[in-house]
Amino acid sequence: MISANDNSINDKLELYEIKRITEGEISIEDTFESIQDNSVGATVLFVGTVRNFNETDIVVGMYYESYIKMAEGRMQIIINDARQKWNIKCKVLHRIGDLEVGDISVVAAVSAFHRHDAFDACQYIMERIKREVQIWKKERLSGGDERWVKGYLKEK
Amino acid sequence: MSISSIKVKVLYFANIKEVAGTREEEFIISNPASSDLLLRRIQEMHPCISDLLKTMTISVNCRVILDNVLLKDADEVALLPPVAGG
Repeated sequence: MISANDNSINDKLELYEIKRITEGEISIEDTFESIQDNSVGATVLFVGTVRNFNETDIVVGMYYESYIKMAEGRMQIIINDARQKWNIKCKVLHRIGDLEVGDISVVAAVSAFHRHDAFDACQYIMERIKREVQIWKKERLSGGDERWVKGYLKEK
Repeated sequence: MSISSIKVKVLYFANIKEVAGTREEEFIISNPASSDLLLRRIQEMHPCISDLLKTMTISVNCRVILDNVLLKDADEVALLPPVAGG
């Protein structure tokens, strides 16, 4: 386990520009552009959006909150691990605050020389983000009720 | 504050924040102080969160702790519900 305040990790982060929790809207185009160069032959973009239903209920919005400094440290570790496995460039952004149905909540963008690395790394990154990063969300339902979405059990 | 006690900040998130009724608060505890002692103090302050604690992850200064650890002055302890990003 590495502290989010670990300077050596933050140095690496600057090289790869890999983490961000944001309250602002996420731009797919800007995220895409940030991981392009002439050696890239394949880019995979995962875009998570707020869905209008969950189980049998109608969802009208979602509130996200985060323990930001810990979450960004964890995202950093996940990206670093991915970079140990694949030769990739990547950028991950997760939005917090009040979102409406259809809003983009998360983008994971991965580029590589070839598509297999980009697909595999993007899948790996998203699976770990959903299970490990300190973000929580509360659904707003059509009847006015609100409820926290059940999360993944303890990270160990 | 005497040297025989320390002050730590405790952060609450998501449903545990709502049940506790606060986002953060400070605890002054006698030194040496363990994370287990702090958790007991938190439960005394907020008896309603005891059930939730079973599924919580605890962090100290952004590091997840799996066992009882010693705390020091100005530590930041967080009670983290199961995560649900995406």
